[in-house]
Amino acid sequence: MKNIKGIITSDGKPASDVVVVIVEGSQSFLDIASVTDQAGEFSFSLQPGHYKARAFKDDLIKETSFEVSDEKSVTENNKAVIHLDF
Amino acid sequence: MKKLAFAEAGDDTTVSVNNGMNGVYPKPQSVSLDSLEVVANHLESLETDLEMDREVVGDEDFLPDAYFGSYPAESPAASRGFEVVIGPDDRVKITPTTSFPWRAICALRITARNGRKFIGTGWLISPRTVITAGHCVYLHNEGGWASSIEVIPALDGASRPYGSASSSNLRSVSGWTSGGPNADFDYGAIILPQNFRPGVQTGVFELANLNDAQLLNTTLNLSGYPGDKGGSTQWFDKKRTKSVSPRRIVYEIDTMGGQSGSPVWYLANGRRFAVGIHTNGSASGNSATRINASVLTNLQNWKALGA
Repeated sequence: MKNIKGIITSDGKPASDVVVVIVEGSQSFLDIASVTDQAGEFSFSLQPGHYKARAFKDDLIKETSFEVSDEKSVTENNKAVIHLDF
Repeated sequence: MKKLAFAEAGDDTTVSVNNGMNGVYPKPQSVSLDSLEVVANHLESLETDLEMDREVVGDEDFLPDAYFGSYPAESPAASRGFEVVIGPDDRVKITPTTSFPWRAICALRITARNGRKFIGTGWLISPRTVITAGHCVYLHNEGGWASSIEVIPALDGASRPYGSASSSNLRSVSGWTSGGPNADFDYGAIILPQNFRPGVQTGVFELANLNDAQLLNTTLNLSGYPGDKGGSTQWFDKKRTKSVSPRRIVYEIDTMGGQSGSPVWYLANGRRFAVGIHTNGSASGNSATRINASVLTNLQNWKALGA
Protein backbone atom coordinates (compact mmCIF):
# COMPACT_ATOMS: atom_id res chain seq x y z
CA MET A 1 0.00 0.00 0.00
CA LYS A 2 1.03 3.60 -0.65
CA ASN A 3 0.78 6.26 2.01
CA ILE A 4 -1.20 9.11 0.48
CA LYS A 5 -0.89 12.57 1.94
CA GLY A 6 -3.40 15.39 1.53
CA ILE A 7 -3.88 18.95 2.70
CA ILE A 8 -7.13 20.78 3.41
CA THR A 9 -7.12 24.55 3.45
CA SER A 10 -9.73 27.18 4.02
CA ASP A 11 -9.12 30.47 2.29
CA GLY A 12 -5.60 29.26 1.73
CA LYS A 13 -4.88 28.51 5.40
CA PRO A 14 -4.55 25.01 6.91
CA ALA A 15 -7.90 23.68 8.17
CA SER A 16 -7.75 21.32 11.17
CA ASP A 17 -10.31 18.74 12.35
CA VAL A 18 -11.75 18.25 8.88
CA VAL A 19 -12.99 14.69 8.29
CA VAL A 20 -11.89 13.10 5.02
CA VAL A 21 -13.16 9.80 3.61
CA ILE A 22 -12.58 7.75 0.49
CA VAL A 23 -15.93 7.32 -1.23
CA GLU A 24 -14.98 5.48 -4.41
CA GLY A 25 -12.07 3.39 -5.54
CA SER A 26 -10.99 1.09 -8.33
CA GLN A 27 -9.42 -1.05 -5.59
CA SER A 28 -10.74 -2.12 -2.21
CA PHE A 29 -9.82 0.42 0.48
CA LEU A 30 -9.75 0.54 4.28
CA ASP A 31 -12.99 2.04 5.61
CA ILE A 32 -11.33 4.40 8.08
CA ALA A 33 -11.80 8.19 8.18
CA SER A 34 -8.86 10.56 8.43
CA VAL A 35 -8.96 13.83 10.37
CA THR A 36 -6.74 16.79 9.47
CA ASP A 37 -4.14 18.01 11.95
CA GLN A 38 -3.07 21.57 12.75
CA ALA A 39 -1.20 21.71 9.45
CA GLY A 40 -4.36 20.68 7.60
CA GLU A 41 -2.76 17.37 6.70
CA PHE A 42 -4.29 13.93 6.54
CA SER A 43 -3.27 10.58 5.09
CA PHE A 44 -4.58 7.29 3.75
CA SER A 45 -3.03 3.96 2.88
CA LEU A 46 -4.21 2.91 -0.57
CA GLN A 47 -3.46 0.39 -3.27
CA PRO A 48 -2.48 1.77 -6.69
CA GLY A 49 -5.63 2.83 -8.54
CA HIS A 50 -8.19 5.58 -9.02
CA TYR A 51 -10.04 7.04 -6.04
CA LYS A 52 -12.41 9.79 -5.02
CA ALA A 53 -11.95 11.55 -1.65
CA ARG A 54 -14.51 13.74 0.04
CA ALA A 55 -13.88 16.26 2.83
CA PHE A 56 -16.50 17.53 5.27
CA LYS A 57 -16.10 20.89 7.00
CA ASP A 58 -19.13 22.21 8.85
CA ASP A 59 -21.91 22.04 6.26
CA LEU A 60 -19.53 22.25 3.33
CA ILE A 61 -18.37 19.34 1.22
CA LYS A 62 -15.49 19.19 -1.22
CA GLU A 63 -14.33 16.23 -3.25
CA THR A 64 -11.62 15.33 -5.67
CA SER A 65 -10.54 12.38 -7.76
CA PHE A 66 -6.94 11.24 -7.84
CA GLU A 67 -4.72 8.41 -8.92
CA VAL A 68 -2.29 6.41 -6.84
CA SER A 69 0.58 5.30 -9.01
CA ASP A 70 2.48 2.07 -8.68
CA GLU A 71 5.54 3.74 -10.17
CA LYS A 72 6.61 5.94 -7.29
CA SER A 73 5.55 7.10 -3.89
CA VAL A 74 3.15 10.02 -4.14
CA THR A 75 4.51 11.33 -0.85
CA GLU A 76 8.00 11.75 -2.28
CA ASN A 77 9.39 15.23 -1.66
CA ASN A 78 6.63 15.67 0.90
CA LYS A 79 4.23 16.43 -1.90
CA ALA A 80 0.52 16.01 -1.19
CA VAL A 81 -1.50 14.19 -3.81
CA ILE A 82 -4.75 15.72 -2.57
CA HIS A 83 -5.37 19.43 -1.98
CA LEU A 84 -8.83 20.78 -1.29
CA ASP A 85 -9.57 24.39 -0.43
CA PHE A 86 -12.85 25.44 1.20
CA MET B 1 6.64 -0.90 27.23
CA LYS B 2 5.68 -3.52 24.68
CA LYS B 3 4.53 -6.95 25.71
CA LEU B 4 4.14 -9.89 23.40
CA ALA B 5 1.79 -12.76 23.93
CA PHE B 6 1.27 -15.83 21.79
CA ALA B 7 -2.07 -17.55 21.64
CA GLU B 8 -1.62 -20.05 18.86
CA ALA B 9 0.59 -20.88 15.93
CA GLY B 10 0.24 -19.34 12.49
CA ASP B 11 -0.66 -15.88 11.32
CA ASP B 12 -3.46 -15.59 13.86
CA THR B 13 -0.81 -15.43 16.56
CA THR B 14 -1.79 -12.72 18.99
CA VAL B 15 0.45 -9.68 19.31
CA SER B 16 -0.12 -6.84 21.70
CA VAL B 17 1.07 -3.51 22.97
CA ASN B 18 0.42 -1.67 26.21
CA ASN B 19 1.98 1.73 26.51
CA GLY B 20 0.61 2.30 29.98
CA MET B 21 -1.09 5.52 28.89
CA ASN B 22 -4.63 4.62 29.79
CA GLY B 23 -6.84 7.46 30.92
CA VAL B 24 -10.47 7.50 31.99
CA TYR B 25 -12.82 10.40 31.42
CA PRO B 26 -16.08 9.37 33.07
CA LYS B 27 -19.23 11.24 32.20
CA PRO B 28 -22.50 11.28 34.13
CA GLN B 29 -24.42 8.08 33.59
CA SER B 30 -27.94 8.20 32.24
CA VAL B 31 -28.83 4.53 32.55
CA SER B 32 -31.71 3.66 34.81
CA LEU B 33 -31.44 1.06 37.52
CA ASP B 34 -33.87 -1.06 35.55
CA SER B 35 -31.52 -1.02 32.58
CA LEU B 36 -28.57 -1.88 34.76
CA GLU B 37 -30.42 -4.87 36.11
CA VAL B 38 -31.33 -6.15 32.65
CA VAL B 39 -27.80 -5.80 31.34
CA ALA B 40 -26.28 -7.44 34.37
CA ASN B 41 -28.59 -10.36 33.85
CA HIS B 42 -27.67 -10.40 30.18
CA LEU B 43 -24.09 -11.15 31.08
CA GLU B 44 -25.13 -14.02 33.27
CA SER B 45 -28.02 -15.54 31.39
CA LEU B 46 -28.65 -15.90 27.69
CA GLU B 47 -32.35 -16.16 28.41
CA THR B 48 -32.38 -12.52 29.46
CA ASP B 49 -31.34 -11.55 25.94
CA LEU B 50 -34.78 -12.44 24.74
CA GLU B 51 -36.14 -9.54 26.74
CA MET B 52 -34.05 -7.01 24.91
CA ASP B 53 -36.16 -7.01 21.76
CA ARG B 54 -38.87 -5.34 23.78
CA GLU B 55 -36.71 -2.36 24.65
CA VAL B 56 -37.73 0.99 23.23
CA VAL B 57 -35.81 2.84 20.53
CA GLY B 58 -36.89 6.45 20.28
CA ASP B 59 -40.63 6.84 20.66
CA GLU B 60 -41.46 3.45 19.28
CA ASP B 61 -40.92 -0.13 20.24
CA PHE B 62 -38.81 -0.60 17.13
CA LEU B 63 -35.46 -2.21 16.45
CA PRO B 64 -34.43 -1.92 12.81
CA ASP B 65 -32.10 -4.90 12.83
CA ALA B 66 -34.95 -7.02 14.14
CA TYR B 67 -37.66 -5.62 11.89
CA PHE B 68 -35.82 -5.36 8.58
CA GLY B 69 -34.05 -8.63 9.23
CA SER B 70 -37.48 -10.19 9.17
CA TYR B 71 -39.00 -8.04 6.40
CA PRO B 72 -36.11 -7.03 4.11
CA ALA B 73 -38.42 -5.93 1.29
CA GLU B 74 -39.65 -3.08 3.47
CA SER B 75 -36.21 -1.60 4.05
CA PRO B 76 -36.20 2.19 3.73
CA ALA B 77 -33.88 4.14 1.48
CA ALA B 78 -33.73 6.66 4.28
CA SER B 79 -31.50 9.32 2.82
CA ARG B 80 -31.15 8.88 -0.90
CA GLY B 81 -28.46 11.42 -1.70
CA PHE B 82 -25.09 11.49 -3.34
CA GLU B 83 -23.34 9.74 -0.47
CA VAL B 84 -23.58 6.46 -2.26
CA VAL B 85 -21.32 3.50 -1.83
CA ILE B 86 -23.26 0.79 -3.62
CA GLY B 87 -26.47 2.01 -5.23
CA PRO B 88 -28.78 4.20 -3.14
CA ASP B 89 -27.71 5.14 0.38
CA ASP B 90 -29.84 2.97 2.65
CA ARG B 91 -28.25 3.94 5.96
CA VAL B 92 -30.55 4.74 8.87
CA LYS B 93 -29.54 6.99 11.76
CA ILE B 94 -29.75 5.38 15.19
CA THR B 95 -30.90 7.78 17.89
CA PRO B 96 -31.06 7.50 20.78
CA THR B 97 -28.31 4.93 21.03
CA THR B 98 -29.08 3.79 24.56
CA SER B 99 -30.83 0.54 23.65
CA PHE B 100 -29.08 -2.73 22.91
CA PRO B 101 -27.33 -3.46 20.58
CA TRP B 102 -26.59 0.16 19.63
CA ARG B 103 -25.20 1.04 23.06
CA ALA B 104 -22.58 -1.72 22.74
CA ILE B 105 -21.17 -0.04 19.60
CA CYS B 106 -18.40 2.50 20.19
CA ALA B 107 -17.01 5.47 18.31
CA LEU B 108 -13.22 5.37 18.18
CA ARG B 109 -10.91 8.38 18.12
CA ILE B 110 -7.56 6.99 17.02
CA THR B 111 -4.25 8.79 17.48
CA ALA B 112 -1.56 7.11 15.41
CA ARG B 113 2.06 6.83 16.51
CA ASN B 114 2.98 9.71 14.18
CA GLY B 115 0.26 11.92 15.66
CA ARG B 116 -2.25 11.66 12.82
CA LYS B 117 -5.91 11.29 13.80
CA PHE B 118 -8.46 8.80 12.49
CA ILE B 119 -12.06 7.78 13.16
CA GLY B 120 -13.14 4.16 13.49
CA THR B 121 -15.74 1.96 15.19
CA GLY B 122 -15.58 -0.84 17.77
CA TRP B 123 -17.95 -3.05 19.76
CA LEU B 124 -18.00 -4.59 23.20
CA ILE B 125 -17.77 -8.34 23.80
CA SER B 126 -17.08 -8.14 27.53
CA PRO B 127 -17.06 -5.37 30.15
CA ARG B 128 -13.69 -4.00 28.98
CA THR B 129 -12.96 -5.63 25.60
CA VAL B 130 -13.69 -3.71 22.40
CA ILE B 131 -13.29 -5.51 19.07
CA THR B 132 -12.32 -3.50 15.99
CA ALA B 133 -10.35 -3.70 12.75
CA GLY B 134 -6.66 -4.47 12.86
CA HIS B 135 -5.99 -1.26 10.96
CA CYS B 136 -7.62 0.75 13.76
CA VAL B 137 -5.11 -0.51 16.34
CA TYR B 138 -2.04 -1.07 14.12
CA LEU B 139 -1.56 1.38 11.25
CA HIS B 140 1.28 0.19 9.04
CA ASN B 141 2.04 3.51 7.36
CA GLU B 142 1.44 5.67 10.43
CA GLY B 143 4.04 4.24 12.81
CA GLY B 144 2.51 0.89 13.76
CA TRP B 145 0.58 0.55 17.01
CA ALA B 146 -1.73 3.45 17.71
CA SER B 147 -0.42 5.59 20.55
CA SER B 148 -3.91 5.95 22.04
CA ILE B 149 -7.53 5.20 21.18
CA GLU B 150 -10.45 6.94 22.83
CA VAL B 151 -13.46 4.62 23.10
CA ILE B 152 -16.92 6.22 23.34
CA PRO B 153 -19.76 3.69 23.70
CA ALA B 154 -23.09 4.77 22.18
CA LEU B 155 -21.83 8.22 21.19
CA ASP B 156 -24.82 10.23 19.95
CA GLY B 157 -23.78 13.69 18.86
CA ALA B 158 -22.54 15.47 21.96
CA SER B 159 -24.02 12.82 24.28
CA ARG B 160 -21.73 10.21 25.84
CA PRO B 161 -24.27 8.19 27.87
CA TYR B 162 -21.72 5.68 29.17
CA GLY B 163 -18.70 7.99 29.40
CA SER B 164 -15.48 7.33 27.55
CA ALA B 165 -11.91 6.19 28.15
CA SER B 166 -8.62 6.10 26.32
CA SER B 167 -6.47 3.02 26.07
CA SER B 168 -3.18 1.98 24.54
CA ASN B 169 -3.59 -1.64 25.62
CA LEU B 170 -4.10 -3.14 22.17
CA ARG B 171 -4.24 -6.55 20.52
CA SER B 172 -3.98 -7.83 16.96
CA VAL B 173 -2.40 -10.81 15.22
CA SER B 174 0.92 -11.32 13.48
CA GLY B 175 -0.89 -11.87 10.17
CA TRP B 176 -1.83 -8.20 10.32
CA THR B 177 1.14 -6.59 12.05
CA SER B 178 3.99 -8.51 10.37
CA GLY B 179 4.93 -7.68 6.81
CA GLY B 180 2.45 -5.83 4.65
CA PRO B 181 -1.19 -5.46 5.58
CA ASN B 182 -3.20 -8.59 4.83
CA ALA B 183 -6.98 -8.15 4.84
CA ASP B 184 -7.45 -11.78 5.84
CA PHE B 185 -6.07 -10.92 9.30
CA ASP B 186 -7.45 -7.41 9.72
CA TYR B 187 -8.84 -7.59 13.27
CA GLY B 188 -7.83 -6.45 16.71
CA ALA B 189 -8.97 -5.42 20.16
CA ILE B 190 -8.76 -2.62 22.67
CA ILE B 191 -8.59 -3.57 26.35
CA LEU B 192 -10.08 -0.75 28.39
CA PRO B 193 -8.70 0.39 31.78
CA GLN B 194 -9.65 -1.59 34.88
CA ASN B 195 -11.85 1.22 36.18
CA PHE B 196 -13.91 1.62 32.99
CA ARG B 197 -16.28 -1.30 32.40
CA PRO B 198 -18.98 -0.06 29.99
CA GLY B 199 -19.96 -3.55 28.86
CA VAL B 200 -21.59 -4.17 32.22
CA GLN B 201 -24.09 -1.44 31.43
CA THR B 202 -24.38 -1.76 27.66
CA GLY B 203 -24.54 -5.51 27.27
CA VAL B 204 -22.26 -7.22 24.80
CA PHE B 205 -22.33 -8.96 21.43
CA GLU B 206 -22.11 -12.72 21.31
CA LEU B 207 -19.81 -14.38 18.77
CA ALA B 208 -20.54 -17.00 16.12
CA ASN B 209 -18.56 -18.98 13.57
CA LEU B 210 -21.09 -19.85 10.85
CA ASN B 211 -20.43 -22.13 7.90
CA ASP B 212 -20.65 -20.87 4.31
CA ALA B 213 -24.23 -21.99 3.74
CA GLN B 214 -25.41 -20.39 6.95
CA LEU B 215 -23.69 -17.10 6.14
CA LEU B 216 -25.04 -17.01 2.58
CA ASN B 217 -28.54 -17.51 3.91
CA THR B 218 -28.30 -14.71 6.47
CA THR B 219 -29.29 -11.05 6.57
CA LEU B 220 -26.32 -9.20 8.00
CA ASN B 221 -26.57 -6.08 10.14
CA LEU B 222 -23.87 -3.40 10.41
CA SER B 223 -23.82 -0.20 12.47
CA GLY B 224 -21.04 2.29 13.06
CA TYR B 225 -19.80 5.86 12.98
CA PRO B 226 -19.29 7.09 9.39
CA GLY B 227 -17.07 10.11 8.81
CA ASP B 228 -19.37 11.64 6.19
CA LYS B 229 -21.90 12.11 8.99
CA GLY B 230 -19.30 13.70 11.24
CA GLY B 231 -18.19 10.51 13.00
CA SER B 232 -20.31 11.26 16.07
CA THR B 233 -23.62 9.68 15.11
CA GLN B 234 -24.39 6.01 14.58
CA TRP B 235 -25.75 4.72 11.27
CA PHE B 236 -27.16 1.29 10.46
CA ASP B 237 -27.83 -0.77 7.35
CA LYS B 238 -28.52 -4.42 6.62
CA LYS B 239 -28.48 -6.68 3.59
CA ARG B 240 -28.00 -10.32 2.74
CA THR B 241 -24.53 -11.77 2.40
CA LYS B 242 -23.15 -11.48 -1.13
CA SER B 243 -20.28 -13.96 -0.99
CA VAL B 244 -17.89 -15.60 1.44
CA SER B 245 -14.37 -16.98 1.47
CA PRO B 246 -12.57 -18.75 4.31
CA ARG B 247 -11.51 -15.41 5.84
CA ARG B 248 -13.77 -12.75 4.30
CA ILE B 249 -17.47 -11.89 4.11
CA VAL B 250 -18.67 -9.66 1.26
CA TYR B 251 -21.93 -7.67 1.31
CA GLU B 252 -23.54 -4.60 -0.19
CA ILE B 253 -24.36 -2.96 3.11
CA ASP B 254 -23.74 0.78 2.72
CA THR B 255 -20.77 2.04 4.73
CA MET B 256 -18.40 4.99 4.73
CA GLY B 257 -14.96 5.79 6.12
CA GLY B 258 -15.13 5.70 9.91
CA GLN B 259 -17.06 2.44 10.03
CA SER B 260 -13.94 0.29 10.02
CA GLY B 261 -14.21 -2.10 12.94
CA SER B 262 -18.02 -2.12 13.02
CA PRO B 263 -19.75 -5.32 14.08
CA VAL B 264 -21.35 -7.43 11.36
CA TRP B 265 -24.01 -9.47 13.08
CA TYR B 266 -27.17 -11.48 12.66
CA LEU B 267 -30.19 -11.64 14.88
CA ALA B 268 -31.62 -14.93 16.08
CA ASN B 269 -34.25 -15.27 18.76
CA GLY B 270 -33.45 -11.85 20.13
CA ARG B 271 -29.72 -12.54 20.38
CA ARG B 272 -27.04 -10.68 18.42
CA PHE B 273 -24.22 -12.86 17.11
CA ALA B 274 -21.25 -11.10 15.51
CA VAL B 275 -19.90 -12.99 12.50
CA GLY B 276 -17.51 -10.38 11.11
CA ILE B 277 -15.51 -7.21 11.66
CA HIS B 278 -16.08 -4.60 8.95
CA THR B 279 -12.84 -3.44 7.33
CA ASN B 280 -13.08 -2.52 3.63
CA GLY B 281 -15.04 -0.50 1.15
CA SER B 282 -15.22 -1.47 -2.51
CA ALA B 283 -17.52 -0.86 -5.44
CA SER B 284 -17.74 -4.61 -5.93
CA GLY B 285 -18.86 -5.21 -2.34
CA ASN B 286 -17.87 -4.03 1.10
CA SER B 287 -16.34 -6.64 3.31
CA ALA B 288 -15.46 -7.89 6.76
CA THR B 289 -12.90 -10.12 8.35
CA ARG B 290 -14.82 -13.35 8.92
CA ILE B 291 -15.01 -14.79 12.41
CA ASN B 292 -13.76 -18.26 11.59
CA ALA B 293 -12.49 -20.79 14.12
CA SER B 294 -9.07 -19.21 14.67
CA VAL B 295 -10.43 -15.67 14.82
CA LEU B 296 -13.08 -16.84 17.27
CA THR B 297 -10.39 -18.35 19.51
CA ASN B 298 -8.50 -15.07 19.65
CA LEU B 299 -11.62 -13.02 20.26
CA GLN B 300 -12.58 -15.29 23.12
CA ASN B 301 -9.10 -14.94 24.62
CA TRP B 302 -9.30 -11.16 24.34
CA LYS B 303 -12.79 -11.26 25.80
CA ALA B 304 -11.36 -12.89 28.91
CA LEU B 305 -8.76 -10.12 29.23
CA GLY B 306 -11.52 -7.57 29.65
CA ALA B 307 -13.84 -9.61 31.84
